Amino acid sequence: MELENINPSIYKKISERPILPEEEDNEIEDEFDSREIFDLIRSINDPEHPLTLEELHVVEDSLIDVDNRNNTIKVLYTPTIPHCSMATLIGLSIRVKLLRCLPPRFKVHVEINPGTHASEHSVNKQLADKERVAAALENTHLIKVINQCIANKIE
Amino acid sequence: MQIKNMDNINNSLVEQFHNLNKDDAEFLKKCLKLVEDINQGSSTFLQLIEQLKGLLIDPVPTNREYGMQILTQVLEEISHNQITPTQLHFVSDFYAERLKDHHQVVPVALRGTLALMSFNNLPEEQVRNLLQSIFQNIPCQQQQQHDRLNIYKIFQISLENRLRELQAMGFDYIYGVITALDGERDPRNLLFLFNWLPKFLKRFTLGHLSEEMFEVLACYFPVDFRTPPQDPNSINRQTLASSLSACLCATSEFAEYCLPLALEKLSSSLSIAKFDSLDIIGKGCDIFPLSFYVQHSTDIWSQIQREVLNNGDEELEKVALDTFVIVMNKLSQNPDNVYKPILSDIVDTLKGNLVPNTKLFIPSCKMLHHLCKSSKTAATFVIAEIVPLMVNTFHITLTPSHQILILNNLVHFVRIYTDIYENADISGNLPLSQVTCLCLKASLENDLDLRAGGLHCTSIITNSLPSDIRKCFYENMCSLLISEQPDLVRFPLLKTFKSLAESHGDEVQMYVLNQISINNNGELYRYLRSLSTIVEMEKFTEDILATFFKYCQANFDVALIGIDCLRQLLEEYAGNTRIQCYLGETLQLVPNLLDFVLNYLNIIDYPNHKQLLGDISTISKIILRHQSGETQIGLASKCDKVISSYRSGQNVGLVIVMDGLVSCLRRDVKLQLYIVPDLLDVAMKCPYDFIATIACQLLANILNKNLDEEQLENDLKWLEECLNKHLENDKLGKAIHISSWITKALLMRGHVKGAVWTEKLIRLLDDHEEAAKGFEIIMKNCPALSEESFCNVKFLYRQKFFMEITTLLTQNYKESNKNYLLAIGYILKEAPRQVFIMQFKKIVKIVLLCLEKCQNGEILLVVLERLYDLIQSKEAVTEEYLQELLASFIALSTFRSSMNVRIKALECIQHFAVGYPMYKLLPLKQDVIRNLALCLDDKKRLVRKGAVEARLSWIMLDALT
Repeated sequence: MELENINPSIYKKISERPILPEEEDNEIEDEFDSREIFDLIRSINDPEHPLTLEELHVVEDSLIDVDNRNNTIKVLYTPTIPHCSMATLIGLSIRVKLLRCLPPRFKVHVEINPGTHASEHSVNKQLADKERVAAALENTHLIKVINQCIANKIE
Repeated sequence: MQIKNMDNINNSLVEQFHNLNKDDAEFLKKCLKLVEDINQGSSTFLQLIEQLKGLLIDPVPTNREYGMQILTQVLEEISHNQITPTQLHFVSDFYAERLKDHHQVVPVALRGTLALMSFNNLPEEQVRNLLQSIFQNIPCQQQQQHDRLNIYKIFQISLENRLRELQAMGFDYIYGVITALDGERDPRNLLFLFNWLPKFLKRFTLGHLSEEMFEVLACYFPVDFRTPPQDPNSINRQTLASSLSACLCATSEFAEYCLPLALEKLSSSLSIAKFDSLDIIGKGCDIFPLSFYVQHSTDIWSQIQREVLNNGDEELEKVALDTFVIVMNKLSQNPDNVYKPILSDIVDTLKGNLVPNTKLFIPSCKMLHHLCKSSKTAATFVIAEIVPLMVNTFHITLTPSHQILILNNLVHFVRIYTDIYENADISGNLPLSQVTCLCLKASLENDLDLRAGGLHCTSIITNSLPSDIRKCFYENMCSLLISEQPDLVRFPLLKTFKSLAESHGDEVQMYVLNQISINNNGELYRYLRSLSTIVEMEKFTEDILATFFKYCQANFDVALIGIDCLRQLLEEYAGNTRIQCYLGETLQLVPNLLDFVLNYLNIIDYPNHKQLLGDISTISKIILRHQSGETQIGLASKCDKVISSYRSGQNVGLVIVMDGLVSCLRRDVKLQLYIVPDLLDVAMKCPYDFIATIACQLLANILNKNLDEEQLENDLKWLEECLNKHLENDKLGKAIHISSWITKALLMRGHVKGAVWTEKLIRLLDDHEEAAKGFEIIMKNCPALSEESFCNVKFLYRQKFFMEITTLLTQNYKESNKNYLLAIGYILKEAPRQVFIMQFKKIVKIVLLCLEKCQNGEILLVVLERLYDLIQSKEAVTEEYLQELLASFIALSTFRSSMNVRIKALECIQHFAVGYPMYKLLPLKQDVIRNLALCLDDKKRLVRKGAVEARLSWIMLDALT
């Protein structure tokens, strides 16, 4: 298979989240925040390259919005090139990973960062459509690729 | 009469073999008897033939085969001089005829032929005769595996012994061989052939048959072979593949077919094809003519480039790069006008990728590095082309992380250049000299990462630094070494310092060590810590230790720092006896430190000077450990001085110093003063737990080492009485603590009283929670009570105690007795791994009860950690109790009062998902996933993280990938 983007730019990974003393105190409650969501999806692999979405700046901490009180999370992602045919697949991977890793009380929106992809609206529409997402996950080939993307490597 | 006689013998021989199966042991024995008779002269080979005549020409094939079996067996065993060339001639003729015979006779005829071929006196024309007969009459691939192997062995032996005759046969022989082996499928035969063929190919010119020969071999490439489990032949793919590649690269005649084949297979998507292709491209360099490599250079280069640049497989990348080096080295044999364009082609292609924030930067640099390794010409060429470019990129790049990346790769060029020219001096190479300037520049930057990166790079190439750059470094070192820096910078700084001291010791002495001036204690501390890094170098050792010693003797505040640094130094070089001897014998460090303590006794107090006292104790222990008994006796008087000054002043800090002195004395070194009562007193009354514990340890140490049995008995009796008094009052905890240490000391030396004291501890456990902790003390490995401190340590005493005590606790456990569960936890905390596994089945019930009933977070965590360790290494015992364990982990994943328990439980659940049989896991999967969903909303972030990982592992259990 020919690669669409042979030599993408790579960005530095941000350092691990430091553990604060209050996070180690059993009595204090830690709320969900954007960094926590980012940590969940930063390690997703790009379908084309052996690189993570973080290294390619497809997902960024600043593009994640968490509203704990209303139980909503919004994730914006940026495809590496505007014609990237993998955009939907990446969006699906993010959705599936969050589906598996977040408590069910949250409603998650995954959308393309406005203005960064040629067919932004149709991709957004597909990702927002519950039925279509569910149907996509029934597709054995598709779920295989998604599982490969979100498989966390055990070190 | 005579004839009749012959017939009799004849008949008797045939009768002897009558009804005897040829696979029988008896058959072989009889044949060997025949051979022995001939060898000893009681009969002759001719007579044997005569006797067998009837069988050998019998019209029934089975009988002929039988006769042949006997004759062949004899031929295989007989000594070669028993048969004359004329006889051999006839026998060979006979065998050549038999090769045309009935198919039942052929296998044994082949065996006989093989035996005949090993006769050195076999007439020349018969070699040809036999081989021709095989080639013409036997379709090799229609024979059974073993017979085919015999044919190949005939080829092998004829090649070894009869090369001249074979060469005379010319293409007939080659063609015969090709035809015979064409289509072989058995791995055993193939392995035999692949090992033999290189010898064959090297001795014959294949001429017009070379393509035919190559095709016969090429059809196996790349070897696709999977060994069935428990294969008795232990042939694997790797052996077959590497011997095949040796065949493909055995003769230069294969070059024109081999390289295109390798390149074709290299472009396939199968990874073994890639590995094998790279292998033959590399191996071929030894034998194939240069022109073929020139012809395919572009192809080879672009394919290897593809593998390296777009690859996720590290191993493949490594093999590809290694092959690249071999091929480029081969190509460097070309004259410059051919070689240089190839180089410049490669360099031009890679140049475009050298933008540090892109994916291809690192792999492209790797290719360039490997290109440099291939030859001196390549190194000079690449460095001239690439290094200035990268230096420029360094200057225009603003991101420190990218600059570090560039610098790391530049430094690599320096290393490769100095390696290939075997000369560290790079002053002749201008671009590389610039790299050293960059290192200096980077190590002076404000950005910490960059500075650290620069220093790190410098430490790699200190050998190649020109003198002016070194001078700059020395000047900077003088201030950097003693100024405060974050660890990030400090670590590479010391590495560079050490590396410079190794390569330019005198200069470092003159321009750094002699120049540093220290103005305050902070600087002193960092100065001494810096010196520690180079103390191991013989040149510096004594001076540096003397410096340390000087500071240890200085005024009180300075000495605090000196002693602290000296302790760290001794701990870092704990294995270096030279340093210990110099400090201990030459400088008399320990007595000097004691004098220091006694001098400042009015200032020193605990807990303000805990660190100082601890340092002195540690230093004494390290030095005493390596001293002989006599030297220690010399010190004993000093100990007495410390003890008496403790008695007069009751300065509890001195207990720490005493511990340092006494605990490492050899068993036969006796103190004048009897300190057991003093120690018991401190252990009972001292308000500081730290000191009380030290007193207990020292007490245990002394009891353990006591050689005088009678005194020990008295001591124990006295101690027991004293402790019993306290068991009723508020000092109960301390009394239990002390008696645990005493029990430990006794158990360690295998003393009979050990059991009595253990029983006492178990009785206490019924009513007092504190006793549970005592078991931890007994099980724990304690440096104060080790063989290093000359203690009496019975082999496997912990294991033995563990077995006994866990059996006892399991048997006596009752619902009402919660303390037993605590005790189990404390015992497990320190239990040796192997014995825990051995005892697992016996104690699993009480362990599970502990997980269920115990509310003590600390104990739960300990038990979970031990189980986690077993689960992580997939011990078989955990598989047996998978369901029970998993259930209790799930219950604990919501354990309210400790988040660490929840996290550990989740980790255990996570590791159950890998490495256990799927059929045991799958029925539990949905349950686990559902239960873990609760933990995803845990109030603690760290727990949620653990829950996510555990849940994902279970979801991915049987997921399609």
